[in-house]
Parts: sequence; structure tokens; C-alpha cells
Amino acid sequence: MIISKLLIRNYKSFEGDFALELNPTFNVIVGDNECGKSTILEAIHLGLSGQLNGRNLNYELTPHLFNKAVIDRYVQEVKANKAAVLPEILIEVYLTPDDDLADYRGSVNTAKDDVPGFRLEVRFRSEFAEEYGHYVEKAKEIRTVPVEYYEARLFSFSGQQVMRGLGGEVTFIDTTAARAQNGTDLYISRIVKDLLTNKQRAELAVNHRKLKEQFSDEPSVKAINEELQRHQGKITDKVLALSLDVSSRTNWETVLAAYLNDIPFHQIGKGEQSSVKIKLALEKKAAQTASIILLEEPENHLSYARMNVLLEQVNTRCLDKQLIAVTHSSFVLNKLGLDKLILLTERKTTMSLKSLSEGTYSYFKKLSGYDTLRIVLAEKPILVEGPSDELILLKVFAQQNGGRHPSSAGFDIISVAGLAAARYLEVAKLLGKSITVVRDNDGKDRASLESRYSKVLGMSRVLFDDDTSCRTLEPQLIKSIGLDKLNTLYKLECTTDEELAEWMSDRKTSCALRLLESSETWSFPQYLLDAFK
Amino acid sequence: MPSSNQVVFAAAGSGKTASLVSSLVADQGRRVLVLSYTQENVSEIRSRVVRQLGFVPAHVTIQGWFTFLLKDGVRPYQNYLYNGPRIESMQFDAPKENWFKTIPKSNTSRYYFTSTGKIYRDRMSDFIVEVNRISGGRVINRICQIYDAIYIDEIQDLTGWDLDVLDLLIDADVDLVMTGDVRQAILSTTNSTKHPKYRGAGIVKYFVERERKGRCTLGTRSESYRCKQSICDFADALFPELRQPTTSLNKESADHEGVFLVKPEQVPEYVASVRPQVLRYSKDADVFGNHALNIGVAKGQTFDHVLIFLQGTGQAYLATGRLTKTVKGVVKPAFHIPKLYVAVTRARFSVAFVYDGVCVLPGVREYVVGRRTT
Repeated sequence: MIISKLLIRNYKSFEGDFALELNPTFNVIVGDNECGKSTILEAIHLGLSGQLNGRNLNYELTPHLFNKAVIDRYVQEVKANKAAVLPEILIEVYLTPDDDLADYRGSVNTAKDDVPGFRLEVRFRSEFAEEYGHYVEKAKEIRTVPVEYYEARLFSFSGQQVMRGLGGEVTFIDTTAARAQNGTDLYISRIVKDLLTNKQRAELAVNHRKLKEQFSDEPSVKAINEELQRHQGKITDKVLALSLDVSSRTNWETVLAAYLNDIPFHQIGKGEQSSVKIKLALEKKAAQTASIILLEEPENHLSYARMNVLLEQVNTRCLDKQLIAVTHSSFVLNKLGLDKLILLTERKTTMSLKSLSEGTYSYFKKLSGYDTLRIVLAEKPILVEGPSDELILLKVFAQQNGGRHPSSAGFDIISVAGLAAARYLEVAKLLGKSITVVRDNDGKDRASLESRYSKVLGMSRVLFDDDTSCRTLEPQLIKSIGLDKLNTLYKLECTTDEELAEWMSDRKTSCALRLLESSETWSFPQYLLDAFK
Repeated sequence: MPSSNQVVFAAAGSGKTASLVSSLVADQGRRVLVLSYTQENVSEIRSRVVRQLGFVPAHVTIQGWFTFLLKDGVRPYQNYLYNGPRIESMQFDAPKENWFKTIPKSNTSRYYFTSTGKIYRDRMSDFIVEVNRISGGRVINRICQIYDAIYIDEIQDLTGWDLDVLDLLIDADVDLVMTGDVRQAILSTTNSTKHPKYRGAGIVKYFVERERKGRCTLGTRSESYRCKQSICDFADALFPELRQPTTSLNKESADHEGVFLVKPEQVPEYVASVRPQVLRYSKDADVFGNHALNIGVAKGQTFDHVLIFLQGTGQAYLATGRLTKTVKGVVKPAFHIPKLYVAVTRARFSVAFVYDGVCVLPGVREYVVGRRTT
């Protein structure tokens, strides 16, 4: 089973329709906090199984599942018009055609694609029309969506209603939440269960029941039951005896616990727990090629070294499985492959590097994932040409903001080699994001510099000074701060700007550092001041 | 592979359901769909499979014809023809009024659907044929992707547009194994007026035409493991045009065998001493307080002895032996022949009619109280 496409409508942070195409092998979804990365994994699982938190969605229906903006709009509309359209949640999981999935094939999906797949609908039940009529009578009191009148139904794309779908084919590894119940970890028991053959599972269940039955044959338990029987008539006329519950309600999955080196699983460190969970999931039915692994933030609770080992495992063992991972870590991204990256922005736009021009794509593929991620994740990225520019900008910001660091206001200053700025601008344009590039004019006039960026500029801006006689940062600083002040700072006796510029250009970084560390206030060139506007 | 489609017409009691069940159980490694028209027969097939294996194996799906039409025909590509919501269920009876007949097909939502979005039973197959055409054959393509073989029992019950769906399946890459008994065409799937020439025993024509085109092979089986020879003879006489005498292979014997006439006043004694299953034409027939089954419901079942309460036209057959009547110059069946055929062929040893009068039919004897007749 391979997911080709996902559609989410009005679920949690997704307002309106959100569509996501997936690679058949690895997918690494990267995005800012709160941009809905984890919701994507949750939606995939929900759309294939109809289950949330291990229960049928109908038992978990709350207004919080609906997008906030959608609810607000409904509440506003219903106050004006009682016939306001009730919001609906829709999740569609499109699968790659496969003979084994033909039962689920059909065109009953939003795209009208003839493929196998599942569709989860959360919508108003029309049989509650009368009750709802009374409900909207008091429109002023309405604060949210009346989920009591809603129901969740899971369908295949052939229009057949299904109870559990193919949720069993999906392993959801969520290392962020510790979900323990009765001392057993649900994931562990489920994964172990999946690992066993049907026969082994049946044997386990039978032996567990036998064990429970043997309990009442124990001599001491027998004695107790005989004692109880002497009280017959006082409590009830029937024979009262104690025994373990042998009904299937107390099945082995909830009673048996997993042990690692004789330590109960939930007692070991979170990091070890995460890696065991992931490894077990990878073992899952090795023969069964059709399965999907959803991996939530594998970097959680794991040391660098352990994560490295784990990702190696993922890389070598997951080849026949579809992996959809969500991460904050550039390390994870680099390990799993930059070409598998799916960038998700706060505005719910997605981008993969594949949509970049070929030159830019191969540039980022070669680059460490770190800087790529920074540009995506930073609220207000500022690109500079080197460390000296970065240090000077730190000073500029500190001077304007009482000594604070730019990151406190969401700025992230990133040094990139001169020519790369255009490549980053291309990424930003695809993301619909605005970045600021601060650069030397290198002796070129405004027209020639602006034409260089015109194709990729998008919402971004490129800052530089118009004075082509001051080609780089150092002459620009000398021009705005003045020869004398800098001579004093650097304990020099340069007589011309050119002489000082040459001296500073030979030791760019240390000069910039001295300026940053000085307690004085300097007058900086306007294009640097503009960077934080 | 059209020639891999086979249809067998067999006499009642020939064991066609039994042989269908054993061949589908043996059809391992292939995904098999079993279809039948009546819910009774669907349950009968299912319980025979369960009796043989203890469960219904994963490769076998057993379904009623209408469930199949709705689930695998109508819904998967409904949005190629109809923009409405999911088609949740079907409406058994279509409006009888004239306005319904005059709705043009182009008015999709009114032609196929009730005001509450149910699809009319009689128009489901029509809908499927349309959707399959518009979608470039996706409906049939999907069915072929799911199933390797489709077994259809009670094939004689398909009429009208259902035969067009059957044509699509016959031409598709799926093996069809069809069984039926033309003489039992009591119930028909639709009230549609399409393909009148294939109605009832005319279904044979349909298959003869397809066999000629090399799309199926047609066979017959004329042995009955159930009925004694005297009953087979009586039943055969109802379909002289088939020229297909049935041979009884029922080797057992009972102390009461044959075809009898029982006078109304003899009924209590007859019921007490022979203990027959009482069958009636319709639920409003007076059966003197006996527990009775409608003939339609009794289809597919077996009893040692049956006692049949006939209607007027059936009694006329006993009196005259006439199978046809001429109305305004057109020759028509004198009564519902398949129904009588089904009723008679439920019995292994004896058939009795509640009747007081002259009978011209050969081999029918008057019942004499207290006298055993073997």
C-alpha cells in the first residue's frame, strides 16, 4: 500500500482544502512549529482507520477537531442567517492502484480519480434537522459547531462504508507522547502484536486464558472459595466464588508488559523507548511489503549518536515501505535525503525541492540541510555575505534595541556565499515568503543589481548602497563612521580612507568583532539600518 | 476468454446448488463472487458452504444480486453520471403513475432517483450501463480486477436491463459460471419492459444467441435427485416445448408416493396421516388453518410430501389440461406455470392438490382415506 496524495479539509489547523502529494518511498515533512506537521500524520492515520487516539472518531468528536477560523465564520454567519452552512471535515487518502486494493477502488473522491482510497467525512446528520432547528433558535448563544448532531463515517473510494479501513497497515510512531495504559505501552503491545504471526498470537491468548483458569485451581484460592461458599445464603443464594476474569475483556494485550533487560518498558528512558519503538516498527511483518510508517519527530529524546544509528536502520530497512516523517532536525533531513523534503509553511503551502530550477535543486542537494531549514523555519531571515556582515548587523540591532539579539525579534541572520543569494530567493519565492538580502554593491549600479534578482525576487528585498565608489562593507563603514573614530577604535594612524579600508579588508572578521564588542554607539550606513525594518 | 463462460439449465432437484457450492469451495486461489437473486437462496448457499467448511473462506464473497448492483455497480463511479450525495439505498417500488414513465433519461436525478435520493430498483442496471459507458468501462474493469470468477445462481430470474449488465460481464475478462432453471422463473428482478422476448422461459433464447457468438457454452442437466419419477413426469408435462424428459435418480422409497387429489373434507385426515408441507399460491389463500409456506419462499427447499392449495386457474389446468389461452388472437400462458412447477418439484415422494372435481391429467390419482398407495 502506497499513499500518493492526501486531502485535508477544515481539520484542525487546516482551513479549507489542503492537498499534499507524497513520494512512494520517503517523505520528510519540515515546517515551523504549529504549522500542522503533526496534524498531517494524524490525518493520514485517521483517514485510513477512522480512529483517533485508538478509538472510533465518533467517540472522540469535539469542536476542537474543526478549524478555528471555520468555526468562527460559521458562528458569525449563523447569527445573521439561520440557514448558514454547517462546516464539515473531510480527509481523503489516495492510494496507488494495486490489484489487492481493487475493493477500495472508485471515483468517489474530490478529485474524481479512479484509484483505491479512503474518505473520512464528519458531517451533520440530517435526521437531527428538527433538533438543530431548535438549536439555532437561540443563535446568540451559539459559540461553536454542534458536534452532538454530527457523525463521522469512513468510506472507501468505491462508496462502501467501512468500519476500520486499512489502519492496520499503518504504524504510527509518535515519540512525543507517552501513552501508557494499565502499565503497558499501547504502541509496544500493538507493534509486538503485529510482529507475531496469527498462530503465535492465538497461542499467547490461549495460554493467557489457561493461566487465568489455573488461578482458581490453586489450593489457597480453592480454600478461600470454600470459605466463601460457607457464607452461601447470607449474601446470595447462588454460589459465590472468586476467579480471574476469563472474558475477552481482559485480553493479554492489556495485561502483558514488555520487558527490556528485565526492566518494564515504561520504566526505561524515553530515548531508549523511542528507538525500540521505531526498531520494532521496522521489523513489522518483514514479508509484508505493503505498509506505511508514520514517524513523528524521531529526534525526540534521542542523543545524536543513537539517532544516527536509528536513521541508518530506517535507511536500510525501510526500502520497501513508505515512510512519512515529521521533523525539526536538519540532521534527520540530511540523513533521510534532502530530495525527500516537503516544506510546509504556516500558510499551508507546500514545496518540494523538485519544483526548484535544476541548478538550484542540485545546489541545495549538495548543501547541508541546516541552512535550507533555517530559511524555511526562520520568521524573518536576513542573508548576508559573510561573518563580518553578520557581526556588524548584530551590533546594528543591539544599538537600536537596548543590547538585545536579533533572534529576540524573530530575525535569523544567515551567512551564505555571495552567488547563492539568488538560489535562496528562489526558495523563498516558492514558499511565498519574504527574506532580506544584505550585500555589497561590488561597484555595480542599482539597475544592474536589480536586474540580477528580478526573476526570483518575489516578496523579498535586496539591500545595498548606491555609492559605487564604496564597493564593499569596509569602505561603507569608514564612510558613515569616519576615519578618526575608527583609527581610535583600532589604535591606528591611517591617513586616508583607502589605507584604512585596505587594513580592515585584510582582517574583516576581527575588525567587525571589535566593533560589536565596543560599548560605543556608531553611525551605520542606511542600508544596514534598513535590514531590521 | 468468452468461451470460459458457462451456463447450465437444470431441472429442479438436480443438485445444481450443491454442485455450485462444491465447485466454488474448490476454486482456491481465485477470488470468487457468488450471486443469487433471492435472499433465501443467498442464505441457502452460505449455509451450505458453512456446512462443508465451517466458515465462508476468504476468497469467496456471497451476495444478493441487488446488493451487488448497488455496491459494485452503482456506487463506485456514481459521480460520472450523478452529482448528488452518496446513493445510500434503493427504492423497491417505482411510482405506478404515468408521470414517472414520461420522465426523460436526461433528467438524471428524477429518472433514477426518489426525492430522497434512493435509486429505483428497476433502474439500477440502466444506471450501471450508463456509468460504465461514460467512464470508459471503469465499472466492469474494477469488478474484473477484484474477482476472477463470478457464479450466478437462479440466472433465470434476470430480466430487462439486468441482461445488459450480464452482457457486459459476459464480454469481460472474468469467468462466469451460471446456473438456472427456466421452469422456475417465478420472480423476475425487474418490472422493466426491456427485452420482453427473454422473459420467463425466453431466457434460453438469450443464451442460445450468445452461445452462437461463441461467448458462452450452454448445457442442460435433466436428472432429479429429489423427485420420484411420477412427480418428474407431472412437472415435465408443464413444459412440453422443452422436450426434455427428466429422469428421477431418487432411489429411496416411502409408503406414500405419487400425485394425488385430496377433497377439501379429506384435508384434516390427510395432514394428520401424511404430514405434508402445506404450500399456497398467495398469503390470502384459505388453507383451513394449516401452517403454510408461500411458493415463492419455498423455492430452493425440499420436503418429503407437499399439499398444494391451488388458485382458480391452476384448478382449471387439472380439469382441462390446457396450458395456453388465446386472448384477442394472442396465445398466452393459461396460468402462472413456473409457480406450479416450483410447488410440485419441492416434493421427494408425493404431491397432493386440494381439489374436488374431474381431472384429465394422466397419472393423477384420487386419495382414498386410510389406504396406503405404494
